[in-house]
Amino acid sequence: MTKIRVKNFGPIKLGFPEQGGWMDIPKFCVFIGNQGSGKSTLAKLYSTFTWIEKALVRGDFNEKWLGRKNKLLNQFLPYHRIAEYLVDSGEISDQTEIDYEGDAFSISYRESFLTAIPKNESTYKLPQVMYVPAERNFIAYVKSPKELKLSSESLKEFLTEFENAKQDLKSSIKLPVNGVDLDYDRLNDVMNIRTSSYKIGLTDSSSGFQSIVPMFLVSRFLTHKVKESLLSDVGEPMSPKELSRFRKAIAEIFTNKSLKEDQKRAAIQVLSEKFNKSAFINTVEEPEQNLFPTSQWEMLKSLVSYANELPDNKLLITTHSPYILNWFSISGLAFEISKKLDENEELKNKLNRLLLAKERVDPSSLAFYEFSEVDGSIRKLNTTEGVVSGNNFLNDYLRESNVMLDELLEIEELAV
Amino acid sequence: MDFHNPSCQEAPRSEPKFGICDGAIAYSSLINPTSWIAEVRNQSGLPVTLTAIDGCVILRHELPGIRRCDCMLTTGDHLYLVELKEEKSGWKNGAIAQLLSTIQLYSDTNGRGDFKHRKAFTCNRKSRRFQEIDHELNRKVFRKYGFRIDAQATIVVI
Repeated sequence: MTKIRVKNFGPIKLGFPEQGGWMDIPKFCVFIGNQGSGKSTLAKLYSTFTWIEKALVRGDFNEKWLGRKNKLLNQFLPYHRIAEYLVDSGEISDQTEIDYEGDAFSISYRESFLTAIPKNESTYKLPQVMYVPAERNFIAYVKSPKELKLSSESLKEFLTEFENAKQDLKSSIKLPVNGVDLDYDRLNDVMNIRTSSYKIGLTDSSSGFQSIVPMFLVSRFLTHKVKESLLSDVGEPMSPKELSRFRKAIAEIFTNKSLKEDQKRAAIQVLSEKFNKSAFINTVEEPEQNLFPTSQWEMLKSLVSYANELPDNKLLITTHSPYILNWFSISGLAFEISKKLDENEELKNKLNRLLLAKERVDPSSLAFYEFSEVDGSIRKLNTTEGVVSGNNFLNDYLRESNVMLDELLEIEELAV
Repeated sequence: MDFHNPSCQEAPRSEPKFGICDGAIAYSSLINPTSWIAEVRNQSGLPVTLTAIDGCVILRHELPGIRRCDCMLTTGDHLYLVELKEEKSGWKNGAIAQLLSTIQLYSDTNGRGDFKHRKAFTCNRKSRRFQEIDHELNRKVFRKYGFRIDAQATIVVI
């Protein structure tokens, strides 16, 4: 299982105090916490290090190149605009420590240097890595997102995949909320939300649709792309000759001084399309954004279904929503109960009506982490049969409003 | 029916923490916290009296069809009604009905009394689940009976 260990990086100070600081990142991972507590920061770091590992395996660069001073600072962190979080001066104990343990490489960061040590690559599945940013609504809101001068590299890449997903739409598709359809008017380069009674452009639709469409479309597109590449001849592994040619071409991009960093990454992305991917690592910031609770659940069902399409797919989400936490509990319990039903078709049907098999989450592949903005620590939430402990921040704040109402009534009680 | 019947009352206790258990009638306990259905925190050390309601103030055969809660905690200022539950699901509405019915019975026989703080708790050891917003229920019960209600408690703080 992939693991990550982070200390003294932006809002993350103490990090995870158990297991020597190592956080397991299983197939399904949920980060909760206040804003500024570091959950998105860690999600971005995880995404960055999975990308570095992939690039090392593919030969985009080697360990020696990676080991040069300030590579993390200058090359990788600006992609998510988190370079300023690095602490490389002062007491050693206050400096940034990052360790990542993947299937193919162990990668560490200490005092301005990255170190990568290869492991057994045979179990490694080359992933499609995507970070779905919180700013995704912006893309759906403007008429010509391609013409935007986006300052975030990760948002640019997301936009690229959004464009690819649009172009890939052959006919209208059903969105997981409100039973509406989405179609793409190629001639006018416009996306429309369509029901039986009305049609409205995505740019003019509600904020909920503007949030869900980019997230849903890109997740769906990349899931299918990875799956298709696995099933088709195109997805056959490269021959040694092809691999050598690929690595040479990548090296040329890296040494080309006329290309900017974002241009290099884009060029590599185009070139690496030739490489078959066997997994999709989807990191989604706040999937609940602008969505009604039932829509949050429907959206989550889609994301979980996509993650369940291939055994090595992963879904990591950050959230403020108790509904999302609740849904994972229900989904985990549904998975556990499904194992007890044997051949009882009636009960199986009943369970399917609640949650389909593809929408269930194996509790042994599920972890919840809670981030504290107070001391920059991270805590793993206990689960039983997949049901997450009620002892968590989101639940505590629901309780807090009952307590506040009680205190107000007590003031009135004492005033009478 | 006497809600302050001394024969249904335990001797006052002022420990900072004790439990309430359910047997033939509800009783307080200092030992074996795993058997406590509700935990009482009494940091101010007030003398707290537990009165068993179901099975003592109101005997089982009395008032058929009228629901009643398990016990009552009182100090000079506090009147706290407590319903104990040990069920995983489908318990909450029944527990609230038991409390509301007891509040009604108490009000009919004792009026509002001289207590500064009147609260009613449902305590369920087996249900430490996600919280619900209870504002509407709380406001309604307070306006109607002068009792604040906590339908999702595990700990009773005096």
